[in-house]
Amino acid sequence: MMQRLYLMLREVAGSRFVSCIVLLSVVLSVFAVGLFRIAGDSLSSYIHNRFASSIPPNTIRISTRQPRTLFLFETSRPGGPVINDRVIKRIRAMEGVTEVLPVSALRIPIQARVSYLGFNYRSDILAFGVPQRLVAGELAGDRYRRLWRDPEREQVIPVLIPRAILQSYNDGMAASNNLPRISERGAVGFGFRLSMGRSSLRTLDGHRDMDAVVAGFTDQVDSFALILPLALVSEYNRKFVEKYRNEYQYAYVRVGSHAAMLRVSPAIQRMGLVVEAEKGVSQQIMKLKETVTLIIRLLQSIIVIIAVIAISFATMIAVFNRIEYYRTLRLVGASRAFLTLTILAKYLIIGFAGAWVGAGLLRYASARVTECFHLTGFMISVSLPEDAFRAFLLAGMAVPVLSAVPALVRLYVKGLSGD
Amino acid sequence: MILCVENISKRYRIAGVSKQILNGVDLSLESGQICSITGMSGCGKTTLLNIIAGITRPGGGSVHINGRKMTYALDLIASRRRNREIGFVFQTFRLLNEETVLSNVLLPARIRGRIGRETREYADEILERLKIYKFKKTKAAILSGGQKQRVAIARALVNRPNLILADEPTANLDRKTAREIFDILLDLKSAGKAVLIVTHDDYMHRQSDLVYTMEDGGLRAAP
Repeated sequence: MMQRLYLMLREVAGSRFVSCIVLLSVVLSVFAVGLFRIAGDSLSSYIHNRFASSIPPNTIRISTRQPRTLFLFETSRPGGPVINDRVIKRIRAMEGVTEVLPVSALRIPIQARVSYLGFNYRSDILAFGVPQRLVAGELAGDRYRRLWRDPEREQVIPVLIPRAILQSYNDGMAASNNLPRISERGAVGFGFRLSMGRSSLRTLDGHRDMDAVVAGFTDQVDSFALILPLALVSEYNRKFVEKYRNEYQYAYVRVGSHAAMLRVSPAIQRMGLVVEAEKGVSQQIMKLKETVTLIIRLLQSIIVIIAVIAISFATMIAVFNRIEYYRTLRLVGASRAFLTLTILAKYLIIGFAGAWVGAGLLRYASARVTECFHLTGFMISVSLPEDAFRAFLLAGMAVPVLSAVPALVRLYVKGLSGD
Repeated sequence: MILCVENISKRYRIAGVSKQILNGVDLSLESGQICSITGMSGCGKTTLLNIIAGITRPGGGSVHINGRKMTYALDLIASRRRNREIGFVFQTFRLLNEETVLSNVLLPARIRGRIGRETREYADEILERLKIYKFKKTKAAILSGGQKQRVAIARALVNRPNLILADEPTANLDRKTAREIFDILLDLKSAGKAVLIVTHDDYMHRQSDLVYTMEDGGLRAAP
């Protein structure tokens, strides 16, 4: 047994030059394939960082279907499902959805009263309630953020004004009526009164006048209504509306990625809701990512094919180079099984060593390159992923071994039997 | 009886044409007998040796070595018998040139899986007997033709086989060296070995117990 093992080990060392060529081809192949893998991963990561992450996916706006109309009037409630807490919960559970922000109309009469330098102005208004997360960035300071969460704290209602209203006032009403233009900065903190439950047309029992303050201006909610805290709107709706059901007029759905944007939009549409989303950017980014990934995969496949061919040829040449040695062994009593085992073991060992060295070189080289070059936004992975390392070792062993098989078959069928 | 070949036949397909190389070959060899076979190139002499050695499978017939039938179906068994019961000597020596003389001689023993002190002493004894002991640690590549063939004979003997097959062992040697190699093979007779030799040399034919000519796929006793 020891002598047979000795012969097997001697076979590994035998024909050093050709064995070195096989070893070198495995090393270079693993290095090249690994290099493409690292470059591909880095490029994908670059695209992700540069485009996918820095251009966040747009928000999806969902609403119910339009009702039937006759001349000026609606003849039915909106068709399809309504947006209520159950629907919101269902959408929130979808993969890729980060948050769902509902918008609710205030369904009671409401009037604003402005008094400034002896000038009194009273107007019936519309109002929407939105959660703080939707407008947090537009509330001008911590005080207003706290108030949005708890208006009862100071008995003051924070109000956000859509920029469209301010622009309409400045460019339309102010100019035509010789009134002063109002600046955003100056208007923040401006106090006025809100009559909750009273308008010029109707007054509800239990109506209440409250102080309000302009907490900022917003583009988030595209409407001509004042924007109030959602909790406050829900509370007044519950208090004054008979048989009130908590339904929302529309909702904003935020998603975590461009891929999620393209996946979630049709899913919500299938629920019977109307979806408005700017998918163009997401589609372009996804297309760019897919194209780059495809090109990288294609290049990787070409490199893998070239590597397999190179290793196969080197192995076959190596086996045929040793054919006289194998013939001699066979003639003095070596069986086919022993010879096969010996040859395959040789290429298994060479393949393993080559793959190990190739992967090691790759790790070293990528570490050195990362040290020497700092490309903005282009991260080169310092270490080869563990799964790729294992795959390289396996392939490094398998390819030379499998490549030796045709040479062995040819050896036994044609080359070994005669002297 | 060491070797008994009965009704061996073999057909080859060469360039699309099927040709009967061996057709009913019979041959018997006792212990201590030397048999030489001659014949034209391509008449099937080497094929017959390969069939006896278990390398080539015959189309029909049987081969018995040391009273046991040669099995071709199982390569492992045929190879094992070739390793232990048959010594092979070739025209081209078939030595591992990068190895030493001793390493070459011990190769069949390594394949057998056993090299003890006894085997090494026996290898030394053979090398001594064949007058190449002093080249024991020399690389085979730098030996002369005659010395290489002596090494090949030593290798054929190391596993103590009863049957020695020699395929034109002196074809690449000059007349004097060829005579020395023949004398070595003749000496094996006294050791009780049976030697089957393919050669065109008249000296060997004169020294052999049995002489055959291979013609038309069969063996004909030479006059």
